[in-house]
Amino acid sequence: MTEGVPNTLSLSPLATQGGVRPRCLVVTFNRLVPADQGNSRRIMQLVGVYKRLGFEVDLLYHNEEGFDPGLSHSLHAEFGRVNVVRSRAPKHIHEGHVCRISEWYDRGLEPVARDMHRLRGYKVVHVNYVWYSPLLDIFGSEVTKVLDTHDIFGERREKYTKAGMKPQWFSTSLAEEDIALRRADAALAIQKEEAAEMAARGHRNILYLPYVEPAERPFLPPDGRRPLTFGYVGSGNDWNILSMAEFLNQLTAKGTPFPHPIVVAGGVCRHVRDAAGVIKLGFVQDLPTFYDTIDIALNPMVGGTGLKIKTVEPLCHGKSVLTTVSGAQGLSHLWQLPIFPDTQAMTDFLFSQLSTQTGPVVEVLCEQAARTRQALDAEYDHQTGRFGRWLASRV
Amino acid sequence: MSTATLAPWVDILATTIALEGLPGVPVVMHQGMRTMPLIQSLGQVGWVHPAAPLFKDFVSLTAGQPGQQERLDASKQAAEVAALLQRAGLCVITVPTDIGAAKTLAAEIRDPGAAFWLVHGPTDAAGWAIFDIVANRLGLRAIETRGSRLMVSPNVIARMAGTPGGTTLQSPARVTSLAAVLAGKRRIDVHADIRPDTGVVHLRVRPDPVRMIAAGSESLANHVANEGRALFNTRGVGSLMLPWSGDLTLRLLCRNVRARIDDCEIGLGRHAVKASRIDYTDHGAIMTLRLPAVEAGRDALLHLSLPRAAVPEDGFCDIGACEFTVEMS
Repeated sequence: MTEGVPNTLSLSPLATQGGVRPRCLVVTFNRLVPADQGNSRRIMQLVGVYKRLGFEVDLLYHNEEGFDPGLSHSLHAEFGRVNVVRSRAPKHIHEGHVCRISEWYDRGLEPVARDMHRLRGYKVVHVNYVWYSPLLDIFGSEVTKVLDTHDIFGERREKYTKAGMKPQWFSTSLAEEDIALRRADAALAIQKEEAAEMAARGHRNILYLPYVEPAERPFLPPDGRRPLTFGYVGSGNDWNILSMAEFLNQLTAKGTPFPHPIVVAGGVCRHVRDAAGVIKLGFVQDLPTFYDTIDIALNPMVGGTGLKIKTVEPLCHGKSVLTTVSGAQGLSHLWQLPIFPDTQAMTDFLFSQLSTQTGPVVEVLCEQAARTRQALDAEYDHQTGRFGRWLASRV
Repeated sequence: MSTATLAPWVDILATTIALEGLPGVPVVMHQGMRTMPLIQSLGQVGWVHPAAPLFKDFVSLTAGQPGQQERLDASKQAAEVAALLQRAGLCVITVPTDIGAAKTLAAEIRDPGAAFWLVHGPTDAAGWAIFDIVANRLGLRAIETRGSRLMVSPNVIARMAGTPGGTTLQSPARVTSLAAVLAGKRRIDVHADIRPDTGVVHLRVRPDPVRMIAAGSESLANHVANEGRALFNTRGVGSLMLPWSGDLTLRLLCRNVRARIDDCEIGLGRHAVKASRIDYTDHGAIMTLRLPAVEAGRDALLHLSLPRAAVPEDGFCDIGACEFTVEMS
């Protein structure tokens, strides 16, 4: 699984100490096998980075997403030591959708983490999400503390309310998030804009580390053996449901059917209404197979938080992707493909440029996708190199 | 006194020292796969062996699934052993009977650091040829014992002086005091009493059975980790670690057995063992066994094979409770 880390020339293994590889403890609530969610894939990518830097990586799994013998086997194959703690965090959500880090953090992690550190002597502890940041305080200054933020959670509720949606999951105050960020020696931001926003709040320990999927397929224009096919895959979260609903509204508002099939896959299918030319596949077990059946991916996001993995993912499967400003958030400085202000503009483009005589346009999109991929790889390589050099200076 | 009866005293002494605070993690070096339930009840202990054990055993985590016990193979993981010793706050070494094993274990011992050191073994153990040199280098001093040898670092002697029993190893006062402290801390179910007529200390320990089970396969280890129970495998075969060196009485609660287990086959080293008594209750079958001492250097593992008819088709039998009673003179 961690073999899928994008190739980077800038990661040199750290020196061993007395013949022993330095050790890193990763703490997460995410079920890491299979890594089929964006956050678990991001975490496994960081695990791969640490391994390429020569670390032995242990896992403290805060069990909120299930545990079974199969997962036990897979985790032990991936990590040096694995300990599993059942989550007892109360996770209150107060009026106004305000969450407190202290109520989402589980102190039950502390004795286990302390014991693991006494036995294994970590050089780095890597926690995910700001509400795990209090765990960093139990480690001394000799341990490098990394917090992967995954998203900005200060006033995250506002993004939902602005879109007319009910806030979901964790959202805290800027003040609490600032305290959390200060606990880390480095807080990782998955988007450049997020890194800039955190830095603007006075934080000097922010490192932008983008998420890039390893390349699975080359970029090749369709060979014409089947109709030009568009596709979207997404989970059933509120942003995906809202985005697909809006996209389909725009599509049907045209009055004439779009002349090419649009395949929709994933948990979002349960919430997508029927529409002419839209084929709903439901859950797909194998993403590469899904991408092999389409020619151009769509990600008509109307909002959302964090990195839109579904904008990046098609590029690793050799597919160009059409997306909106929201879908390209965090990537716009690298993006070579069209970015549409909204779903109406996207559907306008589909009808005007990709209804008939699509060959030349598709070829251009393919070239743009390949260049975007190269830009993403170069940025990822550059930033992981910075991260690796920073770690080497501290470990 | 043989190592068989010295081992619980060493566990008691190590635990007493650890309760006063250690500058690092406890480390135990042993030729065979063993367990020291008292010191292990205080937290993670690193074990070092001259060769990799064939079984996996477990540690109980607070509010967690069982984790795997750390056992390093000194012959293949020398660097890790050295790094572990650098982090050690307490080192307990049972001198091997085999000189090759002794060389392997001693190879990464450098300076004493701030750790507390206890080195013990039968007087005639071949490994003393190596560990006498180590003891001299570490500045260890002899503590009087009967029939075995015990060498300790000066800080152990200093700490012993402040505890019940003073610098006497086989002190009933230390045992009863420690048992009361551990019981009060709810680390482990332990009880000690002194027989007034003989002065013999009866030490009864009821550790979490998950800490005592050993898994011979990765599949069983994953099931134990998932279920948090001390499981037999699907064929009704289970392995139980014995504390110290055996030579104790064991009561075992076997649960989910579907038939009588009178014909359970039980092996300990070269011995075939028979239960002296089996009581069938609503909770399961309670087996009582009188176990001999495990030979020095061997794994202290009790293997049980339940009758086929007793094994459920759709689940596992498990050990619901285990109680070890040892007489210490």
